[in-house]
Amino acid sequence: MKSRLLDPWPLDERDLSAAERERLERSLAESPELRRELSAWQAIEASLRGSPVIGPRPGFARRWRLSLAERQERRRQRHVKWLLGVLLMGAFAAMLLIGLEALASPAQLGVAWLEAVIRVGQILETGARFLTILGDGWPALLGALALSAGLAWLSVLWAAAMVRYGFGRVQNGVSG
Amino acid sequence: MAGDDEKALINAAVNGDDDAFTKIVERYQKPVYNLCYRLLGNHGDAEDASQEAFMKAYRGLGKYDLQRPFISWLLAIAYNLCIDQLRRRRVTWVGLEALFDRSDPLSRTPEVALEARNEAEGVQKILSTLSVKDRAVVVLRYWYDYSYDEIAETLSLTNGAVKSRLHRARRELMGTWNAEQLALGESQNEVSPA
Repeated sequence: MKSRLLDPWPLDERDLSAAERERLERSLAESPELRRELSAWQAIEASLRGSPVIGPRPGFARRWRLSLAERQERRRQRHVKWLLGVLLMGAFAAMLLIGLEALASPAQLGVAWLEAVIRVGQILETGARFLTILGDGWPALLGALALSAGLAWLSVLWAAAMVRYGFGRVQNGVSG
Repeated sequence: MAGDDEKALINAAVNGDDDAFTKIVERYQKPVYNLCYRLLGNHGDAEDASQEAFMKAYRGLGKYDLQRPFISWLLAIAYNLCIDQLRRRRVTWVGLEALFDRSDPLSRTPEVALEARNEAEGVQKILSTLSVKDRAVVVLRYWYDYSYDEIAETLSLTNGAVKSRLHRARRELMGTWNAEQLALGESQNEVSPA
């Protein structure tokens, strides 16, 4: 059914200007049908406004937190699976390449492996030498460090003494 | 604009504090759930949609603009999820069976409970005659007392579109109400002679 009342005043009564409100009131005084429609609308509006805000079952936040934990765990598992998959694929690809190489020229592959082992050995040896040099120079380094720390401590002590006995006396007017 | 406490919670949540976001969930669960319930019409779907809305908000918190009211942002997420859910279901009818387990039934006398249920059924029934978008406008207007601008911002509509939807919704609600009153009058007339 089409409402005649709501056509000229499409929105809330709160939105009406003074002139529109006056027109509405005049129309209402003249028309019982409009009064009936307005009364019906007011009943609907009261029902809508009077209907409660419905909340969820108790424990909604706890359920949300559990759901979050489950999703995070699933995501972590997905990441682990993805990483494992990539590693396996990489390992498979490497094995495939090595296998093909071995099939093509087994002797050359053997030599290449030995060379690789020798290079690793050389790297380890260089590292060991570096540590030895560092170890030999350690007493000198320790002496320099001790000297620096001592000087720093003396500086702090001097600054503290100045603050307490030098600047403080000047500020208090007892220096003279 | 978000309050200081709310901002602090949001910032903490952005920095990975899940407890802070749980407090946000506790604070806004009721308005979000109510919107979902009013749009979807049953508690099961409303629970799923509101849980998902908070999940989506949690994931998208980094994109939230602190100048915008947080509740409007949340309700916009919930509204879009409900629209998606209804689109998937392709059902516009709103079930009424869930209205029977409304809050705190033990604290009411049978008469009060029956009256409240009838009232609630009536409200939900006339709401269900509206399209979901018009229903959302009505819910935000009459339950949350939102201004036209706030409704427009929440539902990504223009101010004019909000007014037009509200106007149409009111006309449809009036039509349904009048038809129901007519049917009620006829049924009473049939009963009276007997």
